Amino acid sequence: MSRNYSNEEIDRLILLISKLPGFGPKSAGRVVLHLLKRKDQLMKPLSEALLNASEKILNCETCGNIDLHSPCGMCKDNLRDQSQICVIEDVADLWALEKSGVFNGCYHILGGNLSAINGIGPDDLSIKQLVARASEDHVREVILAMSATVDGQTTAHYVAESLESLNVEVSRLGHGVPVGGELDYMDEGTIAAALSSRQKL
Amino acid sequence: MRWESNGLILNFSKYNEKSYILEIFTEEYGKHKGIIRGLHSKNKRSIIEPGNEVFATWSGRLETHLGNYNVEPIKLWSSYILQFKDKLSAISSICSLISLTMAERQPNPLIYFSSKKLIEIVTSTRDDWVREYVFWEMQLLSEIGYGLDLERCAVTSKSSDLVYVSPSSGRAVTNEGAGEFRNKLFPLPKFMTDFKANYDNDDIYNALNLTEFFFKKRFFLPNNLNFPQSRNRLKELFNH
Repeated sequence: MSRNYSNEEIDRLILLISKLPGFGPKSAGRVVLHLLKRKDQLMKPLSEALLNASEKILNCETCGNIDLHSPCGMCKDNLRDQSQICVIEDVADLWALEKSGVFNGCYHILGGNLSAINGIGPDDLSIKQLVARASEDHVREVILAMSATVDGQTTAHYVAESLESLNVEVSRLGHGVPVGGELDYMDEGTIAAALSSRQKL
Repeated sequence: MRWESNGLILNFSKYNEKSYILEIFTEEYGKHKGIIRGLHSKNKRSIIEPGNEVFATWSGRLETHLGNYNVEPIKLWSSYILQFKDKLSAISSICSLISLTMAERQPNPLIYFSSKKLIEIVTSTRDDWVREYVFWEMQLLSEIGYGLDLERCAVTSKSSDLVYVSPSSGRAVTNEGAGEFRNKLFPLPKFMTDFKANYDNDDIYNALNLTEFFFKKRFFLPNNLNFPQSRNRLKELFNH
């Protein structure tokens, strides 16, 4: 006869960790065991760091980025070009662009894409805040860096329309052949997009 | 159980971290859902955009199970139109309307082939794609059982000079037959009854407004469904 000796605290911990991306109940169990074996070196500092982060990290009221302060460090940084705003879907996109190190302007995080199926409309995104930001005198260009998907580009066109009445240049990222891409491995749509956005050499 | 069929991608929604629930309008099995795994691989992601034509393989232990999809691209239509806001709205609208109106797992070859043809026209360089779109919506209305009767006047039975549509019956009405109810009737754009007639943005707007009214009245409101936002956007693009 099997008896249940499960521990409520451990089960709760496993359940919570298994909700993180990349984890299931089994890998969460391994993480919990690992943490319990290193209580002082890892478990306590981790719990303190999590608590601190949950208390201190907030969304920037200007751009939607996550930081300890609002406005965030990027919005307050005078060395960044305040005349350019790059519009992105979420924080992960901001990190990707920052990693590339080629953009020195400001960001605006929309919070997703317009999606008919998921019921996400213009009011669910921070488009009004973007229009308010873009109407400030020092803003010259808005770069729409949305995904090259149907929803992503529908959102980009909607945002471009919302900015139409303002005196700002609206541009979007180029679509086409990726670096290291070979034409014979590419789908016809990517080739078509690359051809239509070709540039003079 | 396993089957294979050509199909049009309608939409996908998140199932768990690595899997999505994909909805495909297949030629032989109708609108059908299934789980697709490994969607974040570079090659697969671009395949499952709405409107793309694929060769789908579905497998499941029982017919009633959600099952798993494997898809291979036939034609990636959506990637041709990313720079056109009106065509993007049209493709999204086609997929949303099929997804909302077609019955689950019931083949409808007429709508399948007309939708496939329409997507081909929308993604082509043809200028008259929006007229074809209006006719496709009328066909869809008719297929779900609420077709408009634009053949002859509901009052006088005349088949010429049809300029209005009755909001209650969905039948055409002549100027003469409209009488004092003229203001309560929908204007009927000429191109909807005469294929050779010219049309402008106002005609397209009126046509989209007309089909929208009957979609909402006869299908969306009784079934407590929201009319697709992409379709609303498409109509607004012709509102000048």
